[in-house]
Amino acid sequence: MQKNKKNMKLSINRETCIGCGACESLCPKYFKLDDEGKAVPKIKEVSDKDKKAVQEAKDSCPVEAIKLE
Amino acid sequence: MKEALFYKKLKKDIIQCKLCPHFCTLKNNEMGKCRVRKNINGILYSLSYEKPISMHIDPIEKKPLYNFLPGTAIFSMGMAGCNLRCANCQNWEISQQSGEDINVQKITADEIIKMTKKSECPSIAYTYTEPLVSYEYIIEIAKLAKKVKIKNVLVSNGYINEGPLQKLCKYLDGANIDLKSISDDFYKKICQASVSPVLNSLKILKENDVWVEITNLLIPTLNDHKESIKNLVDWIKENLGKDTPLHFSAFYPCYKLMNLSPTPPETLRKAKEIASNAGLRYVYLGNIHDEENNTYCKKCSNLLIERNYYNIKFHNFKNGKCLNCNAKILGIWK
Repeated sequence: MQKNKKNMKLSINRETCIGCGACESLCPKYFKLDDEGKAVPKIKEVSDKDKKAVQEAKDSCPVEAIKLE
Repeated sequence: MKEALFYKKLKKDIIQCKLCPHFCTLKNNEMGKCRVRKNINGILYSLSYEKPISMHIDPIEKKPLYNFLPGTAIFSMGMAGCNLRCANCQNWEISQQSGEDINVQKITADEIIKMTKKSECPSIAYTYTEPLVSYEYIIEIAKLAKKVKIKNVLVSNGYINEGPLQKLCKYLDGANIDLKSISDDFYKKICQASVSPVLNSLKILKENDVWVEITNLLIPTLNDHKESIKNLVDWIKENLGKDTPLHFSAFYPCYKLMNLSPTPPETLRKAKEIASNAGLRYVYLGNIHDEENNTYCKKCSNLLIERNYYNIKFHNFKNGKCLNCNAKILGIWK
C-alpha cells in the first residue's frame, strides 16, 4: 500500500509531443522516441528514487506533453 | 561561426535549441533540423553567421511586398538553411544546404550596411531561404540598419518561437510570411512542421506594428480546395484584418513534387475571387503572366497603383492617400 503511494504514473500526450528528444536524452531509462519520432514511456510507474530524474525530463519538455501524477 | 542565442544545456554536452518550434535536442557534433546550428562541445553555434550565399538588388514587388515602398529596390540577402522540409521548395539547393558546406567570403553586418547604402536601397530584405535560422546575423544587421534609417524586411516561413520573434520585431518594418495552408495536416505532411506557430508569429508581427503581407502558394490537389482557401482567408480577415495584402502564388513542379502540374490560372483567379468576396482589400496573384495586379482605393475603387510586372505607376495617390476620396490606404509608403 505504501509503495503504491510513492510510485507516480508517467504518461505522454502523443498529440502534443513534437519529438524533440529532450526527455530521452535526460532520462533514457524512462523515455524513448518510437518509430514515428514521438516520445513514449518505457516504464509507466516511476519509483521514488527515479522521481527526480523523471521530473527533470518533464520540466525540459518544451510543449508540456509529459504528465507525472 | 558565432555562439547562438536561445539554447539551453540539458546535461553534459547535450543541448536544446530554443529558437524555433522544433526545439532540436542536440548531442555533441549534431546539427539542428535547419542544418545551420550545431552543437560543438556543448555550445550551440550559428554556422551561417556572416555567410550570405546570395545577395541581389531586387524590385520590392519581387518579395513580394506591394503596399510597402512600391517601385523601390531592396537589397536582398540570404543564408543557407531552413527549418522546414517543404516538398515543393523552389530554393531547395540553398535552403536545404548544410551549414558545413558553405564556402563563401565572410561579410560583416557593417559591410552589409555599407553595401546597402552604396546601392541606395531604402531597405534590406532577409530572404531567399529561411532567414530566421540565421537569427544572430540578421538581428545584428537589422539593428545597424535601423540606426541609419534603412528599413528591415523579413521574408520568412514564420516558424520561430515567440521570445526570439518579439526581440526581432523591434527592428522590423515589414514582413512577407508564407502561410502555406491553414491546415495543420498540410504542414505536417508537406513541410514536416505545424501551422500553429506560424499563425502565432503572424499575430505577434501584427501586434508589434510590423507591416505584414502574406503569400499562399497554391499547389494543385494539396491546398487548392475552395474550402481550404476560404478558411485561410477567413483566418487572415479575423486575426490580421481586411487590409492585409494576400498574394496567391502559382506552383510549378520542383524538388519532390515533380509529379504535380503547375497551378492553372483559373485556380488563382478563383482564389482571388474567394478572398475579395470575403472582404480582403488587397489580393494579388504571383508567378503568373499577364495578370492584373493593381491596387485600388478601398473606398472609391479608383486606380491607385498600376503594376506591369515590376514597372510601377502611381495614379492619384500620394503619401498613402487616395487623392480622389482622401481614403487612407494602409501600408508603408515612405
